[in-house]
Amino acid sequence: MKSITSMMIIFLLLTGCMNANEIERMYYVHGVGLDYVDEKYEVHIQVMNFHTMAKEMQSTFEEAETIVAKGVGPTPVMAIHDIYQSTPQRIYWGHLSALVFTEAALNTGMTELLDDFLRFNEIRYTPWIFSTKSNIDDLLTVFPFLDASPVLGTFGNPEDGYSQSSFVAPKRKHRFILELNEPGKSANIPNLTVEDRWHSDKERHPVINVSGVSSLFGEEYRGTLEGKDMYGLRWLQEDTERTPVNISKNDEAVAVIMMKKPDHKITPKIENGEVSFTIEVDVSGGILEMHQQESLDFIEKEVTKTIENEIRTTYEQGLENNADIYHLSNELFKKDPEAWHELTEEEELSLTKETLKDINVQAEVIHSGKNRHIPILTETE
Amino acid sequence: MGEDKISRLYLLFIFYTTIGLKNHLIIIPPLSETAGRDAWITVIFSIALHILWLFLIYYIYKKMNGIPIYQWIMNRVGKVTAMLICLSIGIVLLLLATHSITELGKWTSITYLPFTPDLLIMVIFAILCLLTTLTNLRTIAILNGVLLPVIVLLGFFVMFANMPNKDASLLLPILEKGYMPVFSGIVYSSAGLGEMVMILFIQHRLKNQVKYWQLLLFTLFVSILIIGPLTAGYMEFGVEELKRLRFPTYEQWALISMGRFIEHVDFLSIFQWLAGSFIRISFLIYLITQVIPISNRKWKNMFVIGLYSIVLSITQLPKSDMEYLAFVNQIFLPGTLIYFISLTVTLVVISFIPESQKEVKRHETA
Repeated sequence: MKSITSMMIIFLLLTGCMNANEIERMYYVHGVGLDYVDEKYEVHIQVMNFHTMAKEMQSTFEEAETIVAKGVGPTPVMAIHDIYQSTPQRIYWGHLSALVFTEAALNTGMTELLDDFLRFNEIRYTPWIFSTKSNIDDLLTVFPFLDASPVLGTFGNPEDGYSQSSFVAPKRKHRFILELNEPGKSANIPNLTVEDRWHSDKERHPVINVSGVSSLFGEEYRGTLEGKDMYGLRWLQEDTERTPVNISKNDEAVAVIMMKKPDHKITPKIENGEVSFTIEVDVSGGILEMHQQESLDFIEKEVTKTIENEIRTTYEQGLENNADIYHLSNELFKKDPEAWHELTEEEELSLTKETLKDINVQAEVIHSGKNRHIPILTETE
Repeated sequence: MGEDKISRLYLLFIFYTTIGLKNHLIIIPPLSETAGRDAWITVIFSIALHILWLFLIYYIYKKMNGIPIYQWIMNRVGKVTAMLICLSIGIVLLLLATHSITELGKWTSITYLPFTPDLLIMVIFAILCLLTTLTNLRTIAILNGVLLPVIVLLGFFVMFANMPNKDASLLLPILEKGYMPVFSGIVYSSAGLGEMVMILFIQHRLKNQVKYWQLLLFTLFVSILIIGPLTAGYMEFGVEELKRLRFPTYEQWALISMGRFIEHVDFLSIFQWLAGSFIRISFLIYLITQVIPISNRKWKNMFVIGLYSIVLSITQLPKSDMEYLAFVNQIFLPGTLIYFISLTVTLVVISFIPESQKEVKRHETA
């Protein structure tokens, strides 16, 4: 009896969490847009409607899926507290999925913005980092159509789209900060734009488009590459899953080869106090589309050439913005830190077009899809 | 109480939790701060030094031959010296326990329970540890046998689940700044491993003898608990960010995301930390009762309750977390290392002094 009483007393201590907030009485921030206008920080928060999280449950009434608020202040925290002034319920940051920086925010005050989002205990190291050239308010009001849940959109789940067609790898906060910190490393993040491409019979649906790659070095923003200018990057990204190469002959399309999981290696070489780099890429893929009958040799040769060109173009386009898009400087640092310290000024290696000396691509075509290696509507022997 | 003995395997398991918790959570931040990217090499050097230190510990252990430390010293150099040495051991053990419970309280209130006062958490936790300390060594060993496997399994889980977040090339370049930073961190990694001295305080409760190679193997396993999360932290956050983190091991838990809907599993780290601290604090205070033996049951209970009250009052001394952290890293950790080294040397010296005949007879009847 005595032991039972003492056990009961112990249970009284299990009062749970003090001042815990009930989950249905909070707003959940899903995405944050960060801007810098007229020497003031602007924080835009995208708050999710709670029952859009579980889309399988049919909601019976129509309501906005997300809602966006804006706060302005002399520091990021003050801007967030500016939003709090007009918030009916407590705001919870633990489920933050994405941070989007405008170009103005990247140019000034990015470190201040980051510091706040690092120190605050509710925010993790997992949100995805993006940049944008579009209006931040427009970007945050976009949500996936056909009743898809916003948590599975570009902000919440950029990996799905990327694995189907890999151009710019999405980047989580811990990796972004790591790359800003590592000597000689630059951080490449996807650049988003709002585009008007999709529509239904009733209305047009704005969508978020991954349209380029923004490069940052330390605290500095080093420009954004878009379209063909950034095609080379995919060959040197660890996470590239599946990415198409288009080859042509006399300006006519010959075939599209779907390349998978490229491997790469960057080797620095020092001669007469000057450094040069060799990039090796090893990749294989299958034919996805075929317009003209060409030999496998020709296709492989063309693929190799195309990939080499893409890598060089992206490198040189990056140089125009002073960006070291392939982390060449960091590769030297890892292999020969002494030489790196000698050759760099304020942690920066001066790069020219000649610094990237050789690009060796080993491209193999290993299958021709579900059809044999002949174009459609051609007679088979 | 004479029956309260456990086998060497169980004792080493308790040590694994006790020392492992410190290595895992407390040693890593100051170690990475001083040694930087090469901190894992520091640990290897530390192990090398520890092979020698362990030899001394093992030598004393053999000499003690199952006699409680207080009696063993008293037989050689007399009551006053024995009292002084054992009192100093007690104070250091008390401070170690205080440090562990403070770290637990701070972690809880900074990361996941910001609105709950940390004193409340620590008081409840201390009551739990108090009840355990008041039982006996076998109870602690059994509790540890239940908790430790889960702690280890969760450790493997966090290691494998974070694989996609790791980039091994971040460990390069090795020895960028030469050997200086490597050696500067050695104080911290040794402060963790040096707690092995504690085996001397409890050796009289062993059923069977520990061998030298067993202690050595144990040290290697405990070192993995530093090297593992340390290198993982570098591969996930980079050197600079890891140095900035207040709780680097915990952040690795917060990083796990398996697909879109399995994430935020860091609540599991609460189990790891609480279970580890529970065994560590209960055992440290239990050790005090072994070093300073009080035979009267009632007085002993009062003594333990008093110890816990002192622990709780010390936790309230530091004004801010930053002040506390500076004290721990600059004074406390190096201090305990110096203390453990000098204690080892003192005990080696004492072991050369022959026993006085009168005392031998007395402990045979004890």
